[in-house]
Amino acid sequence: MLRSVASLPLPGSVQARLRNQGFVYCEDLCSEKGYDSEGEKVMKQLGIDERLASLTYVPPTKSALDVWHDECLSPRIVTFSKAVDDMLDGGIAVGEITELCGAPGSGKTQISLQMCVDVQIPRSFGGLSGEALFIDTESGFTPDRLKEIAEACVDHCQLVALHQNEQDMGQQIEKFTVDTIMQGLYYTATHDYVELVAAIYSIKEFLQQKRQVRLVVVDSVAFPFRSGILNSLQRTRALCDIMQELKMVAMRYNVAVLVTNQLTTKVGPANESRLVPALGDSFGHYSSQRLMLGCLQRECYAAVLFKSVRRKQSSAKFQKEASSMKQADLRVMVKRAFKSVCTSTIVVFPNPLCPIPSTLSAVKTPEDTEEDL
Amino acid sequence: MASPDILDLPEKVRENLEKAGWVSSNSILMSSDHELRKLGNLTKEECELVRTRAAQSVLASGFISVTEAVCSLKEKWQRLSVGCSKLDRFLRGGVGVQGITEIAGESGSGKTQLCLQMALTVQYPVTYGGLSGGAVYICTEDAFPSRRLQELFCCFPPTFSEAQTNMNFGDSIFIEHIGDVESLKQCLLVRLPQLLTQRKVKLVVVDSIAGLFRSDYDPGDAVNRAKDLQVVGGQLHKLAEQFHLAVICVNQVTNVAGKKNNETQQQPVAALGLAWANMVTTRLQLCRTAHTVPDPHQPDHTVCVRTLQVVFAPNLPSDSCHFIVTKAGVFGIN
Repeated sequence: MLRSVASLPLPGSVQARLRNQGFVYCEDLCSEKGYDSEGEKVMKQLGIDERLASLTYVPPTKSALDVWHDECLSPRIVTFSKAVDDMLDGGIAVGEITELCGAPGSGKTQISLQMCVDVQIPRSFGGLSGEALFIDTESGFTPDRLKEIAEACVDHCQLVALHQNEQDMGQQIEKFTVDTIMQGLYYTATHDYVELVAAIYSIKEFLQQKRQVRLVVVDSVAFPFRSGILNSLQRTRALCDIMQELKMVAMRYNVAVLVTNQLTTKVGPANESRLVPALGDSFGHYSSQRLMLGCLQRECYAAVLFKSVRRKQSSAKFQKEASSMKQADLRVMVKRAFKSVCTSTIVVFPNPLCPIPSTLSAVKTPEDTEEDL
Repeated sequence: MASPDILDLPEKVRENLEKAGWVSSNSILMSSDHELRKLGNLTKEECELVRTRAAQSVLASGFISVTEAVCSLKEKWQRLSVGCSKLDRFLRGGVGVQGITEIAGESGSGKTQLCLQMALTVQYPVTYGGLSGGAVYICTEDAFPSRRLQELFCCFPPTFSEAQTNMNFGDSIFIEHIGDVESLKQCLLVRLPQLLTQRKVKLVVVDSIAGLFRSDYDPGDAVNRAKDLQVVGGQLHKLAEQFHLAVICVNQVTNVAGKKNNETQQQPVAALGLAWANMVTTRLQLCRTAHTVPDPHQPDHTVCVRTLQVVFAPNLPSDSCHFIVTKAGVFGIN
């Protein structure tokens, strides 16, 4: 099809001159073999000869089938909890924002740390051989806990390598140690919302240097904005800006972004209160997957898939416990690693708008009536 | 707060920024792309450059690997001994120096005892589990139990192998009585930072946070209460981070009807609701049990066995252990 010169984003004066000289279509200016000699001369005169190629550039198209293939092949970061992995189609997806929300003590930081370790599992074990970036706003990060999770993960991989007895695995397991995991996790602590914003705007440049990074964790995105002195308008705007930036980072660098969020009580029209993720309704638009966590009882946790672009709402139970049963001292090993015990307890809640099971509201007390603005 | 001058930007960009009134990195970071381009008359690339430079100047430390962080930020992950080796082992070294540690429990469960004891251990040298700094004790409920503190002075003799025998515990415990939320805010936002810059203080105890916030507000005024809690909690977090303090907040409990084995039971849960719980890093809960054991110091007396439960913590499993309170302080038992 012939493309009219008028459709090119050129100044009116340039277009008028082209028209006057008889160039009506782009194809008049350049043929498939190359530039038309006359056209070339005119374009040189007008100073658009180099720009024409970019002006007439059509972005390549991708069919839905291609996109689907890509999505199927896109790597997942496993959570090591079968039930949660199943719920998320095999783990946390790269190129997307996944949000974890939950009451204090529901395991948000634990899952975040676990993911930082899991993303580093070597390729031959089904991992990503990646690195991770952790932005800590709540002072919940402790190297001791990371070390514990890393030890459990390395032990697990060594066990797998022993049973599989493959050469690839044997080679890679030697390079997969607690030290390399600690080395492969980048950390920064932010103390207020300006620093958090600064940290998020620094990610892009950091990722250009460290191409290995496949996971960015912000734990939590809610804390600095809720304790800060911003009014709700400023807060919403700043949040939209950083979530947009995170989304861009996730897509351009193909990394998984994991953000954690707190819960708040919302009072309904009939004066009934329920627990909802904090930071307002607009925040929910940015994450592709929204997972609500809760503590059912000691060491038994539940996850509800609140929002997903792929899956219907479902829930799963998972457990923080020891990775191996060899140690006798149960007390030490309780929190060693996440491991699913109830793989068959994926309960699908019938109503997509169902309230969170009351058992999930671990710390809710009668005094909870504050409303988030 | 850096001005655009030190951001190492091209002359033209800097002039544009100054003309539009952006003089600090903070204000650049908090404005949208659209504003920067329109008011600052910048191109998309320049805009990105300004953003990146502003972000770098605010976040000077950048991203470092955890291996490096463990070395360079060692102070951040220190722990303060609670003064008993059994309890320390249970808490993996004691109470963390980052964030807020909350001790909740019904009245008489030993919350104040534990805090008083830490006001002493914080003055121990680092090699003995302390932080070799003073303590600030903010009382909101009762008068400060000075007699009990004097009693503890005798039981925690500062006997170290080094020549530090004449350490006087009382000299570096600063006590403040506060009666309402406004004064607490004023104390935390203005007076405490001043004290912290002048004296080496490594522990701040607020005994109790619930006393003020449960009484000062009308039942319908929950929104303001939540906001005030966030200001107080945020400030405590900030001070902890800035001065590497251990911050301990004592909290009361409320009874909530909970279900256990299909029976409705009254369960004590820390007060102040979700707004406060979101600010807490580590929550410990104390309670008394019906059991008694003989007092190790006075064999003819018995003392009540209490439990210390980790409700949530980033680095501890949810678990519980037993302890007793005697004349000589708080001790863990098997």
